[in-house]
Amino acid sequence: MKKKELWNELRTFPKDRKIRDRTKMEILQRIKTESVRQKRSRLGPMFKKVFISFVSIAVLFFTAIFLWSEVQMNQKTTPQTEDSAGQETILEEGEDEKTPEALNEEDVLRIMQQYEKTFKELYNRANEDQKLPNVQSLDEVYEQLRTVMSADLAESFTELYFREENGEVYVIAQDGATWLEEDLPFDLEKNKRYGI
Amino acid sequence: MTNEDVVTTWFHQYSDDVYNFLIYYVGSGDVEDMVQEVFIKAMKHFKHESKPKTWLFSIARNVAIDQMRKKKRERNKESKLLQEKNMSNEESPEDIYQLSETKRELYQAVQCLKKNYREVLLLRGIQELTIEETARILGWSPNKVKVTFHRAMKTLKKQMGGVK
Repeated sequence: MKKKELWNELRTFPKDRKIRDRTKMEILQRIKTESVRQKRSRLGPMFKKVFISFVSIAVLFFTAIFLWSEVQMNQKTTPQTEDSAGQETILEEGEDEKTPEALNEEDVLRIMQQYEKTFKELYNRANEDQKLPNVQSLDEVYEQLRTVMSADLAESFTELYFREENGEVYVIAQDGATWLEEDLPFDLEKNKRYGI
Repeated sequence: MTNEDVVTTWFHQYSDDVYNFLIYYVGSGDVEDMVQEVFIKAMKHFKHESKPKTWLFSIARNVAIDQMRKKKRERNKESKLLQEKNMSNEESPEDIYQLSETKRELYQAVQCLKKNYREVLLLRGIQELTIEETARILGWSPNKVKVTFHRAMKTLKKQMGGVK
């Protein structure tokens, strides 16, 4: 067989076989199914991306709100601090106002006399059995002393010179307190501990 | 036009061509599943092709090679008795197309050639594709197609001459 004849024989092989219509329909249906499956598989990652973006935006949004509220709170707190500082200043000023003016010698003598008088009156009120009449507790003693002396000194005197027993208050016999000798010259000195 | 529309159009235009190519390539009429696989693969790996027939033929060739390997493995596992039974059930291209005596001999001679010759004769000879189309399907250079086809024809002529 010559090459040309061989070539012709090859070219004239039948190629007219057709796929059955039913099979064609099935294949077309499969193509359609595959197309739907592909669309779904493409939508999956897309949905995932959208979801992640949404969550990220939400996180950023809430972070921004949180930071904004923090800033707002700080702004509100700062003037309050200033206000309280102002109050402190006012209080300090008030304290200054309450602080007595510098005492002179006459004032000191008057205060010291009142201090001695109040203590002695209370102490000397005791009966022979050293009981203070009409006084039921050390608190009453303390309150009375407190009218002329500081809280610390009043407490100290109450503990040192008085005792409470069965609802009665007794004086403790011992050396008396130190009083100012008015006839002798004295110097004035500021003493925070005993604010008489 | 969606990918599905394009592939559906290709199916209407080229499914029978792919079917006939596969019958000769595989040597069996049982290739409808392979045609389906070709178009499903085209759908999966869709790309706009200027020459879709060539692309579909290259997919068909790969599908056929895979199927033939699979069948070979299965046959190795099965008993010889079953092999014979299965073989007898498969319709050959000679029967399908009711080929003339000359064409039967020619087809059998082609099938006996080595793979390169067989493929180039099927595509360039029986399917009447151009050198460029054949080159694209086989992944060869046009020159390799020319040379291989020439050698294949020479070998085939020798075999046919011997037969005659």
